[in-house]
Parts: sequence; structure tokens; C-alpha cells
Amino acid sequence: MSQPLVRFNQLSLSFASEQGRVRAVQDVSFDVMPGQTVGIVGESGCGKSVTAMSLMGLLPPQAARIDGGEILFEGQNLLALRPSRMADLRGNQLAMIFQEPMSALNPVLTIGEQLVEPLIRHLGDSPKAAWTKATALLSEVGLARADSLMNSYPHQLSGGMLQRVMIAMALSCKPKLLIADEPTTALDVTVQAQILTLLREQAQRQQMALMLITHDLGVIAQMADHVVVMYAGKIVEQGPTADVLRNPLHPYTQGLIASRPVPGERRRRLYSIPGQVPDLAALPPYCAFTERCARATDRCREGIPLLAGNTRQAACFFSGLAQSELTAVPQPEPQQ
Amino acid sequence: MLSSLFSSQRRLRKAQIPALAQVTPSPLHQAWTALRRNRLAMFCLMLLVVMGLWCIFGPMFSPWRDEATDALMINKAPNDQHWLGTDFLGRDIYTRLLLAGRISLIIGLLTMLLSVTLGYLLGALSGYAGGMTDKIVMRFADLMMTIPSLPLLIVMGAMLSELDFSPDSRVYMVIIMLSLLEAPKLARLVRGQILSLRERDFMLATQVLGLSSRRRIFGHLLPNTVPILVVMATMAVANAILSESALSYLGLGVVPPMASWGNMMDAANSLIDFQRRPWLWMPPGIAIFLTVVAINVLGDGLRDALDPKMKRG
Repeated sequence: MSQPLVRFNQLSLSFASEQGRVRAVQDVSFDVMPGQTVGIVGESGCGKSVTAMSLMGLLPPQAARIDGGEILFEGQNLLALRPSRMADLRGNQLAMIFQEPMSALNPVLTIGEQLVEPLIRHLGDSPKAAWTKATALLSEVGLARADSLMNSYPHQLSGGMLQRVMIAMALSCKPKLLIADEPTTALDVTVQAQILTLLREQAQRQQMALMLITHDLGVIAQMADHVVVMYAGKIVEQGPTADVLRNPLHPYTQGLIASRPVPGERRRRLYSIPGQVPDLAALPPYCAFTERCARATDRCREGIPLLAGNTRQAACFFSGLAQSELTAVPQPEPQQ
Repeated sequence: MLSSLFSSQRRLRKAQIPALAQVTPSPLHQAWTALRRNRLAMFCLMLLVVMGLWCIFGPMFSPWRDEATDALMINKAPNDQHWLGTDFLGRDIYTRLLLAGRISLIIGLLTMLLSVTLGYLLGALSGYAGGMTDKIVMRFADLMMTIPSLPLLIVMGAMLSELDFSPDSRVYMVIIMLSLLEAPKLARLVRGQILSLRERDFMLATQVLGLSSRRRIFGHLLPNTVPILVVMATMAVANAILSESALSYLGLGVVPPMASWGNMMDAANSLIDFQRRPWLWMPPGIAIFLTVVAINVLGDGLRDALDPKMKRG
């Protein structure tokens, strides 16, 4: 087995807030292999974006604190890297695209002016060479009339076009990993499909790993090789996409799958998981999903189930993955 | 224009644009187009230009000199020789009005330049750096703003009188004084703008691209403040002219023999002049009124034209 491109190793981080420390991410471990597409799913606030931001080193240093663990990129711990080294990696080896392409581009600069920035910064291109290269990049992501687009301002382009521009910008330095944080949420459905196809094609062509953050299981099914399901800052289940979707082991994953609309099938109401996401500042000393879980028993209130299993992992006492003896001791609250 | 001054790639744009057939209008250019459709604002702009040119070139064509007094022609009503009459020393009001206009406009423009520069730098620094710098700058701004500006101006004006500056250099002292009072307000405005811009996604995106702070600030952050800067600068001119007039009216700003619209209004202090000789104080009053209203309307027009929320085709 080859070395993973990115390895999250027991990453825990928290934010300072008025209610105390909010434990946004706890003991998150997973690998992204070179060229692999990993999907991260979960509800809003489950820590999926924060996980990605920590990889890019974009967490606000005053508020966020790493409580433990490491993020290894090709063997080096990104969390221990000097900021200047990190800035060299960003936009170069590690790229990221955002949910809202309209706000991720500067409204007063032309597309071209923004697109040449990473080329000049990381590849040391001359402005002129960068401009030519950037024009080619725009054609490569399927935009027609690249020449005139280079001189356009973001407000003159549609959302789908802007997301293509963002992808072109992210791909400009041939990154080894692209993080896509809900890349299609702000786009309409037909454009969504095009953007996803584009991402997949480009990832394949450049042998680039893709970390796809979404709450749309359809996107995961279409794109990801491996899926990580997060709930309340923890991984509750992970494994090869087809396996997880066909045979979900954790009740939360089961709930997510059940709450999807199925085309052609008429139902009175869509299923929804009862209750709401627990407050991350006051997590119970037992399985955080208990209160919403149909299968919860007294056993569930006794401790936090650990992520068990090998390629296929789940954190539930009833997953069948034989972790009854793995019950974790309730973790002490991290100090203020 | 101004935005290309900040633009990270302005060399590049200059090199590239002529080579490409289609040139997209820049946001500022579009704002200008939008402003041109605003008739009232355009009328005000024209009015200001005409007034400015008149003040600059008008006195050259006037047969009267500013300092020429005429004991035989004191307090004359407007007539065919003195279009706006004469004052208590027999000086031609029309000529004085234009000369005063020069002073008032110069004070307005220089004060704007100084206060906007100072306010912009302080605001940007405090907004971007945050922390202790922000606290110090903002508390200082608060302090300045808690003191009502007129009493403060009066105290400062009185100090100027004590220090006995010549009327010429006093004009510059007045400019510095007004700038210092105006700058904190502008700093506050700019700081707010920077704070909100700093959190926008596109600033995060520049960080994701690994750009240097210098590039991020000058290439991406500051160009976004150009619209507010333009509006701020316009309004600052009007404010400065008003403050100068108030101060000069009280005899603490520009002092005779230098003429300013404010100290010409001084005539209205005397009951007889006020009741019987409206030609002494009406012209400068109207001049101040027109200038300030025109600048403010123009400023409003600019604000609308530069409003990013407004859809532009």
C-alpha cells in the first residue's frame, strides 16, 4: 500500500466561545490517498468545513486551538509548519474552492488579474507568461471566449462560470490535493452536474486527490471513492462509498440515507432524523447521537463508542463491528 | 483611474489591454456611466466646475483689485460699475467674492486631501492590524469625536490668534486644524469598511492562494475601498467649506485682509448691514449654500453610482 497523501491523525480542535470551549473536531482520523476522492458528509456544524480549514491552516489563530493530533501531508505535519512554508504550499500543492464563487472572487479586479496571482506567486512566471497560461486554463475548464473573459469582472459572469474560474485558479499550479467545500451548493442543478463532471475529469487527468465536502449524498455517490460521515465533530462512519451507502452501519448514516428523496417514488413525507444537532459546547459524556437515535438503549448512555473496524469503520455499539469491549471512558473536559 | 493605482497588475493591464479587442469597462468607469445618467448630480458637478473656473479666472477680468479701497464708494448698492456693490472700505464685492471663493475652495480641497489621507491611513491601519493598534487609534478617534467640533474649533482658532500668524500662513493652519478634526471620523468609516472587507470570502481566497500580506492588502483589499473613498472625499470638501465658513464668520478662521466667504458674511453681524445692505452678506451666503448643496448632491449621486448592490448591465 502506498503512502497516503494526507493523513489526519487523531485531530482534535476547539474554539473559544462564551459558553466555553466548543469542541468542533474530535479525534478525527482518515487518510486521503494520492488521486483518491474522499467525500466528507454531515449536517451543518458537524465539523466538516473546520476539518478542511485546519488542513489549509486557515483557522483564526486567536479563536481556534488544536487540542491534539496531527495532519500529515506527504509525511510532514502541517500543523507544525512555519506560516511562510504553509503559504508556499497553499495555492500550490494544496488548493481549495469555496461554496460561493460569487463572493470568492474580488469584485473590483478582472478575472485575469486574479487568475495570474498564483502563477506569479508560486511558479514565478512573468506577468505576461502567466496571462497566456491563465487564458489557456480558462479554456481548459470549458469556458469559451477565454480572451475576453480574462478582462471581465466577476459580476459579468454567471455562478457556474465563476465556479469554473475558481477551479481554474485552484488547478493553476497543479495541486496534489484539491479541497472542494460544498462546490455546488450555490449553483443550480444542471450546472451542479457540469461542475462535478469537470472536477472529476480534472482530478483524474492530473492525478489529483480531491477532498469533497458536502451534505449531499447524491454528490458523494457520484464522485467519492471513500466516504467519511461526521456527526457533532466526530467521524461516526467511514469506508468505501459503495459499501457505506449500500450498507450503512451507523444509525446516523442510515438516517441520512433514509431522508433523501427518491426520484419517482411518491411518499407523503420525507423522513427526517428527529431532534437536532447537540450543542458542541456541552456534549454529553456518551454517544452524541443517542438522543436522536431510534435504537438507543441504556448501553448508549454509558460511554462513547469508539470508531471500530478496519477499512470499514463505524462508531456505534450496534454496528456489528464487535466493539462492545471498546467502550471509551468519558473524556475529561479540556481545560479552558 | 484610482483603482488602477492600487491594482496589483496595473503594469500587466497596460501591456495587455491594447492587444485585446474587447475591453471591459472597469467598475469605476461604469460608475461614471451611471453618474452621467443622474441629471441632478451632473448639473451639480457642472455648477461646481463653473464656479471653480469662475473663481480662478474671474478676478483676472475684473477691473477692481482686492485691496483697492475707495473712501468715496463705501457701502454702495450694486450698480453698473460694482455689480455686487461695495463694502465698508469701498472694495468691490464681486471681485472679493471670487477671491474668497478661491480661498474657500482651496481650503475645502486641501483639507479634504489631508484629512482623507490621514483618516484613510489610520483607518486602514487600525482595521487591518486590529488588536492594540486598533484600540489606540479608535480610542483617540472617540476622544476627538466626543468633543463637539465647534467649541474645539473656537478654542483652536483663538490659539491661532494668540500665536499671531500672518493672514497668509493662517490659512494653512486653518487647513491643518480642520483636517485634524475631520480625520478621526473618516478613520472610523474606513476602519469599518476594512473590517467587513477583511472577512469577505475573496480575502480568504487570496489566503488560500498563498499570497503575501502585502499583495493581499494592496492588490485585493484596498481597491475595494475606492468607492467609499471617493464618496468620503467629496463629502469632506463640503464639510471643510462649512467649518471654515463658520470659523471665519466668528473671526477665528481666515482673517482680513484675506477674504473668505465666511469672513465676508461677518457683515451680517451688524444690524444695520443686515437690514439695509443685503449685498454685503447675501452673495457669500448664496455662494456657500450653492457650493455645499452641490457637493452634497454630487456626493449622494456618487454613492448611488458606486453602490455595489446596484445592478449594472
